[in-house]
Amino acid sequence: MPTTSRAAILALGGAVLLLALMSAGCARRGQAADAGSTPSSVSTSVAAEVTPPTTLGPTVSAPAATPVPTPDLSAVDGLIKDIDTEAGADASAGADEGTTP
Amino acid sequence: MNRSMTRLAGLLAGAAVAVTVAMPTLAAPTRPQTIGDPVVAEASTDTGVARCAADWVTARANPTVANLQAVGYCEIDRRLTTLDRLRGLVSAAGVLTDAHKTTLGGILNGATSGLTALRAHIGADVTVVALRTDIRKIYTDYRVYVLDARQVRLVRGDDRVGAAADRLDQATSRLADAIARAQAKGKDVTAAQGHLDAMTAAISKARNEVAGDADAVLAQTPAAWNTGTAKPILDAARASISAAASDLRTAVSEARAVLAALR
Repeated sequence: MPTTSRAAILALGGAVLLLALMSAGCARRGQAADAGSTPSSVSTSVAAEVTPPTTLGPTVSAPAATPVPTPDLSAVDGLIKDIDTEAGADASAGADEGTTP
Repeated sequence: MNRSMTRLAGLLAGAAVAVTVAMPTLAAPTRPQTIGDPVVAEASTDTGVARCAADWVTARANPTVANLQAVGYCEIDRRLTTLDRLRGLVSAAGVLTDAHKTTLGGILNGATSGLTALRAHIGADVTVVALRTDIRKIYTDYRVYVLDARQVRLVRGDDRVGAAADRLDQATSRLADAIARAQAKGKDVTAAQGHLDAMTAAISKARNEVAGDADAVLAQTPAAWNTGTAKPILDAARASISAAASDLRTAVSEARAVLAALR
């Protein structure tokens, strides 16, 4: 096979390979952009009852921990933050009045 | 044939390089032009004193009817924009009582109607003396910033204190139940009960801080502002809101302490 033909084929093959690699890279980037972050969940802690193992002689067991229904304090935290925002906005509200001519 | 294939290879390679260079630009999301952009915000929603500064300079240097009218229009227009924004705060609040929404709506609508009528009056003025009088009225008869805006903010703050206290009251009931159950199972609940009592006291203190403030704030008028009686009432209301916020934080902290003591 003539040298020039071989060189041409190699050059063409290399260019096609380069294009193929670029396309694969774009696809992977697109997949990464589409994937969203999973929302984090807030876990509420519930104390578990602990049963001591049976032993010979008198058994002494600690009072069982009480599962506590957690009130929604995060909503109150949000309201308190809003209260601070209103107080701050009030402090600067009058600045735009200007001087009475 | 070989020459064609070489040329084609060169073309494909060039295209691949071009795509490599352009990819970061193509991948970057375009930034939509929204009201949040500084430039857009400045152009369309600037209600500060600076908005009319140029008109004032012109009118002071050359007090003609036209220049003074320009000042009047500018000062009224920025107030009308602010009143629109305040109406949005009132209707979107979610924690304002119905009564407070109605009262604030009346205050803001009254100011809007009055300023709109005054704007027409300024447009009909033909003397500098009449214009100076009417421009002064923009301030003295409609205290949009030092009064109306503050009334909206302070009453929103007061109602939010009430809403937070209501939620914490509900929480105290649940925590009291949890304490009773724990006690029935033989747990020492002294510490938990102490924290619950502190929580209840803090909630009550928060309510007392702002009791009656909203009505006192809403009763203020531009005339009261002009005589100096309104400002102390508004300032005291803000101080009460800040104190109530501190009490509410204490109540939340005590609630978390109850939960920790019961574990």
